[in-house]
Amino acid sequence: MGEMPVVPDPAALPWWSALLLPVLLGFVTWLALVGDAAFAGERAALAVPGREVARLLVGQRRRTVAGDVVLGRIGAGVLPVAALLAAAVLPLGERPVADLSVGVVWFNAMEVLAWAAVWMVGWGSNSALGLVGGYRFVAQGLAYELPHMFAIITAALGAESLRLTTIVDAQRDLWFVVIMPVAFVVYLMSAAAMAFWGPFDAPVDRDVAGGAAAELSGVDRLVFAGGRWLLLVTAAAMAVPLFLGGGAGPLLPAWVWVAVKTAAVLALLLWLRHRFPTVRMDRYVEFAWVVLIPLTIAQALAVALVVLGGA
Amino acid sequence: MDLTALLLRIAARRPHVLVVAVPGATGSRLALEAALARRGWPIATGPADADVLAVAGTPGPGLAAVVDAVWEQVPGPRARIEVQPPADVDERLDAASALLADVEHQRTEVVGGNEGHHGGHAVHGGHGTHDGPAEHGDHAGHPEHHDHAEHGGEAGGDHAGHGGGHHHGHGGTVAGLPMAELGPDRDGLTLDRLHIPLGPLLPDWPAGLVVRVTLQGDVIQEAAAEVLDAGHAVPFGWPSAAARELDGLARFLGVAGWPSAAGEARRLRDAFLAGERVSAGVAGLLRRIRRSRTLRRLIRGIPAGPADVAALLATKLAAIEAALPVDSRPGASPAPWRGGRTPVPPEPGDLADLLVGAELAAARLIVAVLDPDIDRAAAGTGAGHG
Repeated sequence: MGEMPVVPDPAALPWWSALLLPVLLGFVTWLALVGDAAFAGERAALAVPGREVARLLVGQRRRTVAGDVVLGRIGAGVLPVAALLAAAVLPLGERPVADLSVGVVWFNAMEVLAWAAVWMVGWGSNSALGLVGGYRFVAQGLAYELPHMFAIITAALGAESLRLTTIVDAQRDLWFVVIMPVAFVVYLMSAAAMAFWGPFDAPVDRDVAGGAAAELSGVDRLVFAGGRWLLLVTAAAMAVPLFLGGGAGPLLPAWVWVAVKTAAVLALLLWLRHRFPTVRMDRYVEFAWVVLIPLTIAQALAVALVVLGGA
Repeated sequence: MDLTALLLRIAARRPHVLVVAVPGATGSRLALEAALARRGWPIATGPADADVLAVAGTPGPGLAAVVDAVWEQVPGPRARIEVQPPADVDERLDAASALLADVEHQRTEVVGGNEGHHGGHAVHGGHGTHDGPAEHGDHAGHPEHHDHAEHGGEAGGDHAGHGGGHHHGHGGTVAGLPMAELGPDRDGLTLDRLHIPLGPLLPDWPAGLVVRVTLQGDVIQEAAAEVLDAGHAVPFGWPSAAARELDGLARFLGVAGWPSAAGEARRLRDAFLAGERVSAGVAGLLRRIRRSRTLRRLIRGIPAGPADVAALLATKLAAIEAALPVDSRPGASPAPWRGGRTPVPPEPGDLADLLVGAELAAARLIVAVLDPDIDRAAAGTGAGHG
């Protein structure tokens, strides 16, 4: 234990920030929803999230014949919880709610919960299209997860730490996006994929009538869709400490820079959805394994050589 | 302060509408879709996502049974409308929105549904709003929408396929549903088989078409197509080939998961039908589609008869260009994709044969790109498939 590097205290925000985190994340998600509605050309974009939430709050819940209600509802509930837990290691400004020494691994573990969650929702509805949607997400996970892990581990490698505050500190001179552009691009793609968003929305796509979410209504749909949005926001925000220098920036305080950079990444992800058609995994998995995995490994190797050379 | 009433009022400003397209009543569907786009009301993906069930046209007996079954699956608060003359669309949608905001009505409906009373209030054609128990007395409102298994393979639209999950092939039933049976698959394994109908209520699906498929995983092993109420519909006369092609293109792009391009195609279709000049917009959309390497990679090599989906799409785009007034080509458009002959929309039976061996997503693309002319099949030659 004695050899462990001593962490400058206090690295984490006070305990009550944990209570504020859901509020903050919810607020950012709300803004992202408004932004998406504006992107889609809706006229009353500001009112769209409110109307949608009201609609789902008064909506009746429904059940399908011989569906596994408990499994489905646990699945839907896991999504927002996983997003919140993942966000706990996000530096909000300079410090996160929980400054775990294995922050990167924690984030990855929480994000992988979505695999189980979406599959459980699809299976729990006992509907063929729901099941197809659930399995599509499992296939998607197999395609995006390995390049994703190499991408985030490259950032950890660059800082020689899995702690997010240390990763941010290591970018004081040079943002990681400069020395590891491939990892950054792959991370952005996997951020969309883990939130089954944008071109990676096959698990809940129109062609299977909503896929995993096909049988959800009322509060169940609200929790599922809300959890998905929270996951998207968290994944976008995580790009900031990993690749974009965290709160570093001139003049303004750190938290403003984090907010600005997060908004920029989110805008990019919202744009992606309008730019590209849905990518089916039967076509994408080949690209992911044959092109992206070697690329990210080469990127990690290059960064490792830089780190060794610098040490 | 009645919170429920407040939420209902807010929600009724932007309800999701499930559009049921009746073969032949394409004019009503176009008016409905244009009105929804004007209002910014989203089109629902299925009954669970819907607040308003909007039937465009007068369904024949087969489709009417499906609509009744689907109505049972729509969760409250809900409203049901039928749009016949296209000019009535806005009146009907306003009535639906008013009904959704009507707390007294929705409260009795929701509570009634849960206690096993009749569930089917409706706003029909010329009758305005019914306050009393509705005329769908024969569909006892089962609590929490338990009932759609009873409509099983016949009527439940895309959600009828509750084929008993993934248990063992012992036969028998669970909750009144047959278990999935086993069968050899394409890799020589023995896997569960599910029998589900595709259509008639899938998003971006040809009106009235039902393809009964046997699925293993999401691979189609067997398929048989039919047109509901074949012979019942009067074929719709499109005012122009360009509008018809744009309509088909919008549906294809929707199935391909490109909502922004699909919305643009739909907007251009509506503008064109309204008599506006759209050549520049159409040229821009075609350029955007042709330049998308992602789309090309995704649809290349999916066999759909003699050509693949990509080649058929190229023909479709060329047909739009050919059908539009001449000034639609500003010269700068990159070389179109090569290949494919002018496709003849297939008969439903032939269509089904093309789907065997395809994955569900590929099958949707094949149907969307071939865009079978249900109106014609329903009116003339389709009777044999009914």
